[in-house]
Amino acid sequence: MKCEKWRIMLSVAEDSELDGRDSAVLAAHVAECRDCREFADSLRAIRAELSKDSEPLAPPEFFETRLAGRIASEKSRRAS
Amino acid sequence: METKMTIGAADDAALASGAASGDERAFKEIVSKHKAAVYSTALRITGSAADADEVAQDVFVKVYFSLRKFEARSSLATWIYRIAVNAALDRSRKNKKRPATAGEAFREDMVCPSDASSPPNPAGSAADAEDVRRLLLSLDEKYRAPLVLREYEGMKYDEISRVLGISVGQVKIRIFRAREEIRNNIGACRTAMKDTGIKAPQSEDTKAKS
Repeated sequence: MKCEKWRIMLSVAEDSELDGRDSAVLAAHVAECRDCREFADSLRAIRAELSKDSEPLAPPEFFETRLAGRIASEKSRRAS
Repeated sequence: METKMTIGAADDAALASGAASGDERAFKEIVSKHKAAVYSTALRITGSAADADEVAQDVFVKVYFSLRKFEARSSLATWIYRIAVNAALDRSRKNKKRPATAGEAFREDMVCPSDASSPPNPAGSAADAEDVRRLLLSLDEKYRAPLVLREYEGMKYDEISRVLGISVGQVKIRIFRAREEIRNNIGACRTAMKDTGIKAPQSEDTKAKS
């Protein structure tokens, strides 16, 4: 696919995992490539979409109580 | 973003050692410390709160009975994440809940976000979260797990690589593919909606502005 190497680098850069030298090379390419600029925009849009599910999640009530029951049952099963 | 489970925390080794020796308080602390990360990871991989609850229970039962085997070659958090991801993927496979396989075109039950380029609702609504989870479920599972660990657990690539047992290079590629697949799925969805004349759902923000 056209520019796939650069697109992978753009994804890595979004995660702040690209080193300084590669970042400079990537920036030079993106400055000249409209497709890659559009891809960079779409990456940011996707991440914005994913961040809509950013509320902290917690297991339901009595998680530990139910877990203790499960462990006790399993202990009995293993002992028998 | 910080990693939710604070991978590499020094006191984890002591907790693991204590719990393995039968210290119930140490085990309770492990559960208390890691249950939210296990549950949220399982929820985003399985797409179901009920499944995530069961998976999280299974994970800690396994942790309880396997702590003696934990050799601290990886951090306790990495080990627990590994068990959680594997259990969640197993559940997801059994359920066969995925609405579409990789690269499949739009289906009616697939999410079609109102406008992926619009800014996210800062508070995040339940409907938004549901849409996002359906988007995640539309991904091939080998791409879904690394993306979830990156986007929601805040892991660096090397941490994801340790949890999934794949190279950092593979992590890079799989996260890229996941994003590319989401991009294609949203594009296919919008095209299908345009062709059928169905309007994409509006977000609360968009409704408020119109």
